[in-house]
Amino acid sequence: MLWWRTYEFDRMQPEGYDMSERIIDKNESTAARPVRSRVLQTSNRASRLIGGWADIVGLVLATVAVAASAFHFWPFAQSKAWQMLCPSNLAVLAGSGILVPFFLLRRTRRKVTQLLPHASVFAYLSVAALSIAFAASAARAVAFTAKLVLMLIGAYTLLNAAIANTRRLRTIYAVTAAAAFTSVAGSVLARFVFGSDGFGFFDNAYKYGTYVGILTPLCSGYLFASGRLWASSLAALLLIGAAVSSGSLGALAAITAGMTAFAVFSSWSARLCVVGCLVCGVGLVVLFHSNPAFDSLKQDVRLAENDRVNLKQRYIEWQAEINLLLKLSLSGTGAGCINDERSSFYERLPKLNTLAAFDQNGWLATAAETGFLGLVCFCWVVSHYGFSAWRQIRQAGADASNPAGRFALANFAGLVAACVANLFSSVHYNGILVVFVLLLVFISRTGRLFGDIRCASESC
Amino acid sequence: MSSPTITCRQSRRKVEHALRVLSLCLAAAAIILASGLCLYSKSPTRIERPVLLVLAALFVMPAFKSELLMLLQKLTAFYLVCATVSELSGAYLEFPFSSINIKLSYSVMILVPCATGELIARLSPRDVSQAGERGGLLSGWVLAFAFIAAHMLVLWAFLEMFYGYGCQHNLSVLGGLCRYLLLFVFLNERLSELRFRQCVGLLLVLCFAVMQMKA
Repeated sequence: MLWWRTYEFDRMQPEGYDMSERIIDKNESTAARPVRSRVLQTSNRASRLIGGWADIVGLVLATVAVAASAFHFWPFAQSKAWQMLCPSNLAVLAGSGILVPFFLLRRTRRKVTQLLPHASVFAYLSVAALSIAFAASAARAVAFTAKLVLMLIGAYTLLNAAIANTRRLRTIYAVTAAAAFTSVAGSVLARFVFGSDGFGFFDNAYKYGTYVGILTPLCSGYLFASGRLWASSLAALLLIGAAVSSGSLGALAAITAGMTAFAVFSSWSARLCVVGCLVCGVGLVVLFHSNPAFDSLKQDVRLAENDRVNLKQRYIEWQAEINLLLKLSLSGTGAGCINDERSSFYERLPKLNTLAAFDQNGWLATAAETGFLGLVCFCWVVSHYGFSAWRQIRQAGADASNPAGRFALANFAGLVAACVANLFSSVHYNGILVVFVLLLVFISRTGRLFGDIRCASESC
Repeated sequence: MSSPTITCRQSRRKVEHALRVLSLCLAAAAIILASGLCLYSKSPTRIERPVLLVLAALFVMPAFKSELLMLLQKLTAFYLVCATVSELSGAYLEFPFSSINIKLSYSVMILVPCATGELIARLSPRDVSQAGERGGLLSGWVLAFAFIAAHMLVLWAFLEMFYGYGCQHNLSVLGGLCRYLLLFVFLNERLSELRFRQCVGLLLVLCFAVMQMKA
């Protein structure tokens, strides 16, 4: 009988680079226990990033970055300075500031290097940097690229360093779930209790939809997969709350796609729970569709504009971005500069002005801003982590008793949701990107639990 | 080992070396042609800061030990080559005959020597050390192609439904993606060669420096 089981990271041994995590069967003989405890001690010492204060500060900053993302730009949503220096971004900036000296020191450089993201992320960033040469506004392109670097490298490294063992992985999952609950509760209260047009801490339906669209399948999947009644109840509450409070098609599509992906690979009981919650959520929306709070959702789901003559502006924007690709196929408009050029590419399409300025499709926006090669590199990022998540699902399916299967299921659901959410919005948006990066870190960390060598050797 | 066997191996090695050099020369010729044509083209793409591309071309040349830096060098070199090729999109070499006017796209003129070089290189054993990275990037190409094609299909249906016309440019966009994919397939292995990358880097430095001076 397995009476206890734990995971440990061996990833930071002084000499080798074996990131595979050992699963130690605690049912081993008493004679073997001293050996095991020695292994655990070595591993715990080795698994720390730098050790001491830097380790603790890193964990605190990572927790703040994830938890603060729930509040988005609240309470100064209109302030540009606050948008850049919100607590989430500041925590990542401070964390990166701590990591940089350790990277520069030869003694600790190796440890920091091992925490960096996969080469595909660097490839994407280099294409984004090169696209600055073609941007009409250098300042905008440089600022956008700097934000990408900060999040995709700084936040990734910080979060990766913070999740040094399974206990911390669970802690960050719990913080993420708390952040999702906070944003959903804020939106439900604002819209259904106080009758506000906003979405709690988010002022925009698309931003809120992308945020909860990614986090709801991730956190609900994690909670459902635990198999405990209280966790399943929380997951059901989160799922129904997110479905009811979402005001965009993208959010509903992302939640449905993510939870369907989760249900396909999970147990029958979890499948029933997911289907029940989705039916409940959609049922509530249909039942109370006359409530003014659902107006934005009803408008967003429709294919036509209010005039019933024109196609919804979202799809016109999609076509404008494809038209743009014809002329600026390689260079794009420059990173972050799509809004400067989009209006020149409507051609025979009507120019409507019914949408808030917001990227309506992350995939096409990436292609339009950084060119085909930028889109290819971004797809490489998604496919690398996607294949990793898929391998984890397969491994978890082969070994049902493996507790890490819970993480694998949640991550896969989250990634599917992120891909769908990126169709109707953009994961590159300031304040949302940190959630996407968190998802990549979760996938990478879970891969190490499964001893996925391709995940382990991600930074070259 | 008997001397005929050694002689046979040496001669095979010489042939392989010659094939490799020939494939590199063909690829280099294609890039020289692209750079030359790019300088004389009417420049459909606006390069706001050629100096940044000059710096990128300089980054391509040093020999780094890090695999990540080598990958970035290769990708940067490929991006810069694509930048010169993209300048030629929509430009044609015309052969006016009495009855028919034959047009040959400049892009084809670049792709043909690259493809020939790749074919020749395939006659000798291939380097399999970078298969993982190549596969990863190819999966990115496939995914990008699938995403754009799927969007086009959906949008074509929507536009037909609302306005009674589709979008005639859409296939050209996919054609552009295919052109860069072919260039990637043909040049990927060549760009792994340090000497080749250095030659390409030097050429591109000159090309973009001239562009900067012209600007």
